[in-house]
Amino acid sequence: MNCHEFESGLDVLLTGPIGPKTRAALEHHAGTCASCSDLLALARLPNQEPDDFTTGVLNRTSGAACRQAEESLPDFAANVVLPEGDQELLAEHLEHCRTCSGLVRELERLAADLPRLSIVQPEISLLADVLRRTLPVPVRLRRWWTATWPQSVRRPRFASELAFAATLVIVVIFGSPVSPLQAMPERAFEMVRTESFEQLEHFEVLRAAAREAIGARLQATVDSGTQSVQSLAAASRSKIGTILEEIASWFENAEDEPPAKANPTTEETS
Amino acid sequence: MPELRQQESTGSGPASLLPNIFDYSDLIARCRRGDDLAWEALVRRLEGRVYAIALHYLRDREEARDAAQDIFVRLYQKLHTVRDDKPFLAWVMKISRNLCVDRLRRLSVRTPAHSVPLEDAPEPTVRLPSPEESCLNSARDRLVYHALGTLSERNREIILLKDIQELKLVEIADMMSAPLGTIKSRWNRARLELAKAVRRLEPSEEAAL
Ligand SMILES: [Zn+2]
Ligand SMILES: [Zn+2]
Repeated sequence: MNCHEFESGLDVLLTGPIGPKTRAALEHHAGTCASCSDLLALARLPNQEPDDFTTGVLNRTSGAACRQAEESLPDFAANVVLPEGDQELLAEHLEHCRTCSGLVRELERLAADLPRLSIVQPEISLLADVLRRTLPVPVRLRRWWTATWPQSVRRPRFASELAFAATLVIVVIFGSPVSPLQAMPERAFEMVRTESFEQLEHFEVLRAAAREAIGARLQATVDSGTQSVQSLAAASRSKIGTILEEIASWFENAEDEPPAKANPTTEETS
Repeated sequence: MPELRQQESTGSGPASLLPNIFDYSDLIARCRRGDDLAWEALVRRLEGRVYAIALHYLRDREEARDAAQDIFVRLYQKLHTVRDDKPFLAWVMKISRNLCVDRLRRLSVRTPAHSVPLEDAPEPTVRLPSPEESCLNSARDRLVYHALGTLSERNREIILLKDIQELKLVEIADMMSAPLGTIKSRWNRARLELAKAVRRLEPSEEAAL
């Protein structure tokens, strides 16, 4: 280290923070060089003694002014103009207070450094996970629905697709353990074995089963079901032929004659 | 205008090599029309930022990863509600913040709060970089990140939103439903606290000539 380097390092030595290596190098030079050791002694004089004196007075009177100074440091560091007078007093305090002037330097540095932290690339890109989670089923289904519903009605395969959906609905209605209609196909089958086949063709059996299984309070369900199945049947007639049509006509019949009110409660629970 | 910062698309990914011809509103408009490529591009562009937010809130790499994914799923679901007259990034941050705060709340129910006020924090001893710090590039960045960790959640949050993500104080006040004056003075306290924390933690080598 030469004298020039010592001089440029002097400020750090006096105001810190300073690394042990740097400190050792500076002190070593001051120990071996008379002019630099004088410089160091001089540099330490004006900074320390008045501060100590003022601090002594402050300690016996108002206490250190740093607490008040600190409140304005962030604005001061960001070059926000403080109220008249405050600015000058704070600048004067900073000339003498290493803690506060160090904080100002740190605040300035942070203001420059912090925006860099706004972007942190994850070690493994999130992209694959995000795409897996955003593009599959629920969202994609909704997107598909809003995008294709208007055109799909005109598509050639639409009817059979709709028929498939309708079949699902029917499975749910009749197959669900909570559905009150669950018992109906079984009862119908029972009746088919005992009654004549001709009756089956005319859906008398189904209607009878419906009367037994469906209570009056299910009328509303039947009504809405009738409407939807009717329209489904109309759409699917060409594609799946008779099955849905038959079910639809059964619903039509069921609608024509409201289900009998005889003993509905005893049958529902079975 | 933080939205237009060049830094946005710089990163380690190949996206940074491509000319940046789309701004956010182009991408969003395409996303709304169901353009999956636009969504992918948007994720790439926002990834580093969203991950940074999650990391600063949660301060754990795995938690941040999960949270960042959740944030993107939420963004995707809500993309149709973006209004053209509102800054997009502020909107992203608002959603990110809400999700992180929720997650933080759930985490703090599971484990007692670990944030220690600066005054009571023990003197730092020799420390190894924690896993989340390895994502940060320079020693200085890691130091600042570590210092942020000594702040209270509230103070850290305001630094995150104002200094790191560079939102306006008005936007933050709106986001937190707090008066502007409160936010301003909280920001001042937080900056001061952070500067003190950095100076306490500063490794001695930092001051080398
Ligand atoms: Zn010398
Ligand atoms: Zn002071």
